[in-house]
Amino acid sequence: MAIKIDGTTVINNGVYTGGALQNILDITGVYDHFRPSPSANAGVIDMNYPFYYDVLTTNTTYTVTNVVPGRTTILDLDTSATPWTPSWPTSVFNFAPTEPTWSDHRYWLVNMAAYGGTDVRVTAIGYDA
Amino acid sequence: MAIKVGGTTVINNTRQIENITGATGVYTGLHQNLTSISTVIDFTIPMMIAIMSSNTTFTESNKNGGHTAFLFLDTGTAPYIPTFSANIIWPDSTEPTWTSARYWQIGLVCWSSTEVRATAVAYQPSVAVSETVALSGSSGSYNTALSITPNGADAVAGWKFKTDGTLFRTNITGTYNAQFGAGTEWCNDTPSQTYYINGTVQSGALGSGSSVANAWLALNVERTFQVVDTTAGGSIPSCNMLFRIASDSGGVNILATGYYAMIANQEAQ
Repeated sequence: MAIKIDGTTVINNGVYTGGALQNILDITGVYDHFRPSPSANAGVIDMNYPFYYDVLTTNTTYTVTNVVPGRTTILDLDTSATPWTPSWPTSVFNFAPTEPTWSDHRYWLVNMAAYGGTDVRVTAIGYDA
Repeated sequence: MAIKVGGTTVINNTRQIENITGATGVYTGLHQNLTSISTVIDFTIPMMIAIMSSNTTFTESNKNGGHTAFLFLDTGTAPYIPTFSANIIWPDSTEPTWTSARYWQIGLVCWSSTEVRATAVAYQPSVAVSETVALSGSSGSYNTALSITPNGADAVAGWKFKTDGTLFRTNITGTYNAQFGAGTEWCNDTPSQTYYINGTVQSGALGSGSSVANAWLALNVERTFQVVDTTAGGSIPSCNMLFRIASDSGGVNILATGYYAMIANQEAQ
């Protein structure tokens, strides 16, 4: 049975998860083993989600949705052995200092932080293994 | 009604989780709020933004080991200089040169209740001191928006000054989807202050849906100047305008001047 506050569900009947928080307006306290759930959706960055992983199997043009100031998303990107080349919505993505040369490394940790509704500040760090 | 565990509220009546001593599991759509600050970096706030309007000394509060926070910092077009306390420790003990960029994203990790390790990433270094307002055209060579529509469809031709600093004109079918002077007009960046526009009719007349002419209008609101042909055949509405943009509401400090025309024609058949 869902738990509600004034008629609004705050813990739902998550059949598979045993109940998920929803409609929460704020959280205070501390946490330890509380982590983002990895998501995979080739070519799509939905900033409703905190963490993505993607293994490219072709050159891929990403789209980004739900850009809301303050939201952050991490993409763990494997460009594969080829390597394949990712491309980004340049009108929205703002790399610092410049967009990296993706072929320099196979693995990338891409950090995205939404500064405005059409402005995502991005850093990308390359790894070889 | 609040949810309590052992007499302690864990979800209050405004759907805020509180007094949590630990959490396990996973999350997806859980985001930090973006909170504006002026001078205090509060480590109970995970994501902060400070838009500086003067040189500013920042202090910290609620430091505890393990607390982390992000700070979006906009040093303005001046740019203004931030000063951080000696508690903030930078990589290689070297504080960034703040004048090298306007926008900064600063990651802050409390090493203890006193020390904070910080990293700063710069964005858009080219706009550090270069916000520019510009218009174009001359009285002998107007920039022109032309719309031609078939009989039965209103023709709209005009110019739209958007709040993000861009200028759009109508395409041939009358839709405002044609950016004009990209990266230059009317401002080369999202404006850091409120500018003011004044459109003066040189010939012709503005049509319905237009902003007021001959008045200084704040550009923190989208401003549209257009002509509309609602009748097939007959006269063709047009208007030639002089636009001026100033940094003040009285139009004393004029930054740019330009000439723009609009012609709308609903064809007879």
